[in-house]
Amino acid sequence: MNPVILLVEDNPTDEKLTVRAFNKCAVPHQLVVVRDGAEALDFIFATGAHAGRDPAMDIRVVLLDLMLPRISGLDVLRRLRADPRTSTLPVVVLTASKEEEDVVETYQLGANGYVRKPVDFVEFAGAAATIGLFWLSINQPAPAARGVR
Amino acid sequence: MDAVLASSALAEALVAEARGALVALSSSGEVLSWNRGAHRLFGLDGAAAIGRAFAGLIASQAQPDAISRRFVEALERGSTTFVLPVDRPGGAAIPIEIAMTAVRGAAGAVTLVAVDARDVGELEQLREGREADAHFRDIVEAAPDAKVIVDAAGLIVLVNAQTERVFGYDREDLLGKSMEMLVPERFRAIHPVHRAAYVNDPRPRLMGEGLELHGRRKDGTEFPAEISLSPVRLARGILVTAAIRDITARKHIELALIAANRELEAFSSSVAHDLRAPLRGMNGFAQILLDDYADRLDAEGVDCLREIHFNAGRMGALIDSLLSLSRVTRTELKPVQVSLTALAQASFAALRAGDPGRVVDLVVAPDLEAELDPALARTLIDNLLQNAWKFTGKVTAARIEVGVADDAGSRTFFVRDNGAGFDMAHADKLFAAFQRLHTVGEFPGTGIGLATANRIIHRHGGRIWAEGRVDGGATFHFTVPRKALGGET
Repeated sequence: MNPVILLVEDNPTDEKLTVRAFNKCAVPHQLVVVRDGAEALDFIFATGAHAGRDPAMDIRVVLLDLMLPRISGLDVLRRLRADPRTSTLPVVVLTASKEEEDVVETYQLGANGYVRKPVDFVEFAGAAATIGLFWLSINQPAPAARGVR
Repeated sequence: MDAVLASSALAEALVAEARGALVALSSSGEVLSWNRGAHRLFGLDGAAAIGRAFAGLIASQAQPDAISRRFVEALERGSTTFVLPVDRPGGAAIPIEIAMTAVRGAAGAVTLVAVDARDVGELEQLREGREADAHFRDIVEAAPDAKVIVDAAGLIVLVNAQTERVFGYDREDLLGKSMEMLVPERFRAIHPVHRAAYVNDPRPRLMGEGLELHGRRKDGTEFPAEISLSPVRLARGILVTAAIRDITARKHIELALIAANRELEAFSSSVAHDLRAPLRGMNGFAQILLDDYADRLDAEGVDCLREIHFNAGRMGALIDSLLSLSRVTRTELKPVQVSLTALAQASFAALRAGDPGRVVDLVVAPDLEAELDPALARTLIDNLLQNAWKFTGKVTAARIEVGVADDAGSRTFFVRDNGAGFDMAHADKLFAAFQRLHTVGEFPGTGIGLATANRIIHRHGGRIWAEGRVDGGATFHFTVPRKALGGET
């Protein structure tokens, strides 16, 4: 089974663009999309609507938007870091903001990266390819950091 | 006869015991009699004075011949009165009022001249004192702040009209009372301790610096106040003047400002998040069409797509510049010593990396240091160098120079280029947001970079200006005060 990139994104346009951008990523993977913070937590912890998901899924990286309905990106990050099962799960914040406070806060909460979505699609596709390459084939994950099985 | 003798003895006794100085002169000006008052006033006893010329006894450096002149006048006109500064041994002259009256005998000839003299210095001092006192009261009365003047015991000595307005008391309710009645009840016990401490070390200063102070009105309500204290030293002891300003309105404005800033913050963050998303969609899908479907469009269709793509990208750049401009105003200044030399080199390296095809010569003076907020300093230098980089794009042997002119202690930094320059007639437009002196086709840009630089320098209390000539390059000068406003020492 291909490693999973979990995209947490509520904007359908951004979702389509991100899916397309990751289509150009050379590393084999499976891109799973959830549309708000609550669903992201359900998927990662295999609860609620995602209680029946395949426990063998290997989540390598969570791409997390900050402005999300129901549970915000920062709260998702807090919950992941507070739980021993996901405290080392790689989380890359993928957002439109480059406000300094947002950057500082996400790092303080334990994010592994902060990527600003560029307006230019060529740049965006390049960023997606690099993110995929790094987290799926270059980075060595912590043994316990592959989500809930 | 007895009666005449008796009346003569009475007159003599009266003259001798009078408190004022009474002197009789002969018609030629010699002293005939000299009473005890004259002794006190002029510092000479009768034995030393009698028989000598009065004009020779009374010295006045200011008017040396006044006595002789006035004596003649008294003889001619019958009487004269004048004030003369009379010298005192080892001291300042004192003003003495002298009245001379010619006394004529039965034959009409002058038999003697009566002189009546008194010290008017004390009177003048008293009058001046009263005038000064009235002047002081006028100043206090006209002051825009409430002024409450208390003695060392804390009793109110004087208040002005503004005090009545601010505290709601009539001045009769206040005078002679303890000033603690103007202090909120919860501070009344401790206040005399502070007051005593002030009287022991009285110098003009703000009261309770850094604390929120309040005054208490007659109706028991309180108001936020700013209070400054100053001592008035008088012969009878020390008085303390408290100038009390009701800052309710200022507090309201401060709160409104804080709320407005919060709103601006929220607005900026919403611009950052929300406004860019649709642009990403426009730019992205136009690019996808260009990448994957260009073969199904003719040349004009492809050109239209490029326009959509380009404009969405440009709007993204505009939003970024605006956010950066607003960040200049929103962020709290934390000035430190920063190296403009290092910033210029880093900024230049980034520009060169972004456009490796160009050859531009950079000359940066060593050790350029200024007291600036580090993040804003980077934005400032980035904007000025980007500007220079851009406008040297069409010259051969492009050159950018960063340096300082040190004259009369004020350091003026500059960024100079030999690029397209500008017409000085438009110099005032350079620093306004969205003002551009060139078309986007000539030189791309948002028209916000120099506005941002301008705002950064102004926030630090400095000045920025430009000099240029069409096709003759441009120089941007700026100053930064040694201790920027709001800076830490």
